[in-house]
Amino acid sequence: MKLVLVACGTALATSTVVAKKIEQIAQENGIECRTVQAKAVDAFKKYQELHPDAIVCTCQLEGDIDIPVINGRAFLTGINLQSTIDQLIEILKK
Amino acid sequence: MDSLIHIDRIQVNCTVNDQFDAIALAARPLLKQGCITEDFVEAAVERERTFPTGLPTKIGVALPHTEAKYVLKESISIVTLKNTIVFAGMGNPKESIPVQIVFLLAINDPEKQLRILQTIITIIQNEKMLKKIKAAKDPYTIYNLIKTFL
Repeated sequence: MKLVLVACGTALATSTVVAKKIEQIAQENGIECRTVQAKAVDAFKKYQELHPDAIVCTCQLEGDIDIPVINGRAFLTGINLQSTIDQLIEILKK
Repeated sequence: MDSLIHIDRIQVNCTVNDQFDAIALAARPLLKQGCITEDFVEAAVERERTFPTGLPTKIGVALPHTEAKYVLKESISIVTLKNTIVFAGMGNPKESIPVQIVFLLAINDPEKQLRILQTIITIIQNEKMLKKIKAAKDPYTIYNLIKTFL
């Protein structure tokens, strides 16, 4: 089971929509994946606690992160969406 | 129609000085209707400075919001702007995004409001819809446009 940490400023609006899209994309591609949402200020702590496979965020993150970080804005705007999906799938299939 | 969006929460062709003014204007009907606390605007403005919400769609959109504790009744306010206002980019505070449509989100249970949030995202990915919303001359037109997506 893969784990994606989804972070945004308040973990209220955008990260919820982005998290659902990620779960849907994973399912469509036969990847078992769950998401956990975090506020930007808690994201680094959750990263250290949960050891996710990737972080998708719609905000800037602080701290030393050594896993792939994907800008999740494409899931909201639709701009460059396919390349963002491809990038995510590649990480989740590893 | 989803009760979060009301005709009296839609304002068209407004003139504002800056992004913070736009947030305050969008908040006005929600405040009047008892949907948000008095300090919602200050919190949303503060959040916008730290975590901006501008999105570089064909017609720029911003989705200002803030923490649940400032929300009394979940609601969404929509403002279209006569003049373009610069918001900073979501995930990239140094980016300047010219915004013409603001969706102010007063949400405290995103799981419950997922459908309406997804609808807004579907709309902002649809250039034709954004153009129609921007061109709308009255709140009814926008209300009816969004209704077709719900």
